Amino acid sequence: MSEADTVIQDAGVAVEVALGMLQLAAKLWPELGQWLGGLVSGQTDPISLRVADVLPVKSASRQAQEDLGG
Amino acid sequence: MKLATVLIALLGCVPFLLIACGSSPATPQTPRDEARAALLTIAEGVKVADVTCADASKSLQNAKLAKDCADAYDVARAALVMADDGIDAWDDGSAGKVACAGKHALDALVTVENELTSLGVHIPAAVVDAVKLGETFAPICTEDAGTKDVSHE
Repeated sequence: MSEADTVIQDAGVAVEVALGMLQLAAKLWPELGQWLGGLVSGQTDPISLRVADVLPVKSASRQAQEDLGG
Repeated sequence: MKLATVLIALLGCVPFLLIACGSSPATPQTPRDEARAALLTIAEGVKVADVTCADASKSLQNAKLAKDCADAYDVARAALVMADDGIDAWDDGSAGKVACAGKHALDALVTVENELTSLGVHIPAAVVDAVKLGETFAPICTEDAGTKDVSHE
């Protein structure tokens, strides 16, 4: 294998690795951005979710009750 | 070029390292954080129980079951929202008040769980886990801790 072939092969591997890592970084970007945002703002409380965010005022059971005419 | 390959690979590992470092503060570290995490776990159990009950009510054409579950949901939600507010205004007596609110939510959740079980409905793991976690509130909740301050209506 000539030196030129080796250079081309290495360059190909480098490009493949870089593309793979870029794809991974893109997938992880939301979490990364969230963490960096917390780091920059100095916010240390990791739990910002509230009960009201989890539980809507009107329950699925209440809706079912209405659907069933009860 | 091999050096370039190694450098690119190392740079590509940076997101991994950042995520790994970023995940460590997500662990609750204070009683306040732990209380919030516990409440959210119970809330998730209440939500899953509600959806399970709604599905069961429809498939069984049982309006009474739906009403019972909806009433229990309202009680649990009110208690959990109140506990959530108590965590926001965290002080020396907050742990007891939050525990009592969590216990009221647990009682409502257990009511739903028992009713579903009696009808042969499978109880999802999220509900079972929430009940187990909620049971840890009971010993902390005493009258002095604020039972009278937490409405479960």
